[in-house]
Amino acid sequence: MKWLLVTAALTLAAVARGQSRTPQGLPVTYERLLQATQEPGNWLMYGGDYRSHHYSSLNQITVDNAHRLRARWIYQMHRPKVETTPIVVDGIMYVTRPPSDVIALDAETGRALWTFEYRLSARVYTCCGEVNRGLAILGSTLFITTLDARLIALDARSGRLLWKREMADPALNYSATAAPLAIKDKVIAGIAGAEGGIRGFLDAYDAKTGERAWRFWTVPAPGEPGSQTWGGDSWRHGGASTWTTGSYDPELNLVYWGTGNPGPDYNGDVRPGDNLYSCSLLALDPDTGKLKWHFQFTPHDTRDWDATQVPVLLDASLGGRPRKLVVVPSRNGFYYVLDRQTGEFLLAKPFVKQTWAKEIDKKGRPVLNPGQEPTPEGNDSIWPGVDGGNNWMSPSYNPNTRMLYFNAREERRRFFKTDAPEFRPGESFFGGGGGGGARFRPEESWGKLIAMTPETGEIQWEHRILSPPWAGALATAGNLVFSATPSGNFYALDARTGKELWRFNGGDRVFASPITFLSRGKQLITIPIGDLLIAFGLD
Amino acid sequence: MACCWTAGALSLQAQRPARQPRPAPANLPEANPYSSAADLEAGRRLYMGRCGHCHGQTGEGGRGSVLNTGRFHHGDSDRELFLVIRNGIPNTEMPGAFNLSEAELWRVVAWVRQLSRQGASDPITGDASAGAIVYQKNACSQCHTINGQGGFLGPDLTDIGAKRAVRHLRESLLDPSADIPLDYRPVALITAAGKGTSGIHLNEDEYSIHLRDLSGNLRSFLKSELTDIKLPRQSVMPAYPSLSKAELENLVAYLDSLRPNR
Repeated sequence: MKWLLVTAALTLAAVARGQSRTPQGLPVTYERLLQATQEPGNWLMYGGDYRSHHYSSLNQITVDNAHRLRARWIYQMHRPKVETTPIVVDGIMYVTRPPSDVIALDAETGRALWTFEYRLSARVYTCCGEVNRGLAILGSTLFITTLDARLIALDARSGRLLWKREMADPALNYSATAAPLAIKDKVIAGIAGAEGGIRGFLDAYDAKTGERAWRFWTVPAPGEPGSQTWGGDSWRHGGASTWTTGSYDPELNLVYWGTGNPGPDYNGDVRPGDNLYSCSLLALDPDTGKLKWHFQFTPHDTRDWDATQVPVLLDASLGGRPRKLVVVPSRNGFYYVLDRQTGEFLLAKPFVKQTWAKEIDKKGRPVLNPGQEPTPEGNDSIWPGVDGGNNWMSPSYNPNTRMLYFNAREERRRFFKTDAPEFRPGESFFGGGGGGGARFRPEESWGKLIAMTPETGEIQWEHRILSPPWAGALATAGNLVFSATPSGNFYALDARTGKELWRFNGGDRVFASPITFLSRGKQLITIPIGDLLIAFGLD
Repeated sequence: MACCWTAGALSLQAQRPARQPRPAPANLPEANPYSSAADLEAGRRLYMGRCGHCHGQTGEGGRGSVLNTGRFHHGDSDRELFLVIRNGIPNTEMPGAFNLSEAELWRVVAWVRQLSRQGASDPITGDASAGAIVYQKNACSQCHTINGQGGFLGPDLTDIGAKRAVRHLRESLLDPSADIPLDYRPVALITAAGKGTSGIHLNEDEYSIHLRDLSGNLRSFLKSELTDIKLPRQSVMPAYPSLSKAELENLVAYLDSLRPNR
């Protein structure tokens, strides 16, 4: 009887603190994924939920007690550039490490339960490190894309390989780094390699068998819609990779996925036209892969401004009319609001200094400023830089404050172009570059976390940081926003004002997004800092 | 089977050893056999297409490390540069150019060397031994070190002749602020108490800043305790316009003669 009373009291306390369900463990059904926000003690997919809010309703850690956060455990990755976002299912954390390994950790202690170590099948060309950004779960199966362009399925209980499918040939410069997205009975998986001259695509695979269900080529072949936007044979190496995880609206049954730069990156002379569907947001039917609509942020891009930002789905009133929106702080420096049902362009506003566009016109097309292209001698007048005003790191939307939080990069960089490259397996396909880090002054290279009213693009407050960040944001119901700086400082802000409440020096650069979950009823927060995955909780 | 897994015992989850670089080709020479003007031009084109994206058009760095200082953290002999470019650097973003031919790799090495020298070499017109006297007379060793002897405020000049072109050496004497080495950027602070401190910028994050002051003390400050932080565009090294043309050229010749003994 006494035990029952204690259990009841603990359950009530858990409900009050946001843990409103009995732990179910595996399997994680599609129905559970649809209701991911009802399981705040878990983190069930890359973006937190299908809308990619990257938000948690957990409220044990608050504005009032965040100063009591302490490191609870560390898991040593022993790998550089950890970009992963873990998944947490009732006390078990599944996390990837470069290049393509998966580890199951006890979320309470950080101790490893099993390790799946993937051996690459081939030498792989990569532009930007041997990274991996996470995994998906459906049922009792984990899904990960590998650096050598495979999609593999693992038994979440043992780490045993269930199946492996080649998405593309890594010898032709294909690689894969994005966390897949599980929808219904399929796994959606993106590809990488636009810097190596691939032709991009987005795939869906049967979750049970691994058979490919559909492929959407992000660069159309001659005769297909959009092919007129490519000159000559340039489509063959047109890039438009899909290397960041998208979002999903179950009501509209549309998956939203961003695409990368066209190839060659900086020399657009050989690919006259808009180069669809590069630098675009795609809305696809997840059952068939059919394109419902697309929106291109940067037509004929020559500055490597991939549109592989995480699209955030939210509903708001615009002009007195309720709208289903998808919002994107784009790498090109403009914040965009689109109608996610139709793709209609609604709004664009710069959120960093930008020099390349006079404005975005009423149809959403940029009106270009002259002199903002890469040149043979180098053009160092262009803002934002090659890594953009924003990049792949996760934004976060708090439905209580109704604010969108994301990191922004203020940078000027030198863009140059070379002769158009020949495609060669194992080699880059840049046609120029966008480097020049050391030559610019501190005021030409810095960062900020932005709090924005998403339906208007109005910035509410900014939190300045020393150099351009690569970390995602996490908002919680404790009225907190967490993020991190390239100098290794992990910090918490008051989500309403931007006031800093707590920080921790992790001592290395951060290329990842924080998440939060419950372990034994207590809220923890993790983030990779350098090659360490660190968990924080209240003392 | 292209993969494996380990379960249970924690001792089995130790880190995977770093991938081993490919062995050097047999008879790989120590010195670059491809260094003609045509090789340099070919190397420039290869570099611009494949390396400049990260390392910058002039080796100034960006996503990749700075390549125009003459210092290479993974070995700075021609042979070592060849192997780094060919194999990449394990566990970093530096990929291997494994599809370039041996001749192409050597040409990239030649161009990277050229970047370090910051331009083609001018002819030496001065006398190096007379330049050594100019060096002593102007007390350059108060701030610079050669073979372990000297001060610490300026860069170590022990191998400077191998790292910098004559033109750049001359510019550094006449206008040292034109190109301040990254490790020697000046910083000036004012504390809340109104006290000023200046020195060489060593480290900085959002909350703190660290410097070596002009007396060589390592100093740390919390930004919350400062009222001003300036990063002057002026080098702490004074210009030497008072040198006669002969003195200048002799000093340049002396600096150019400072090369590693291999």
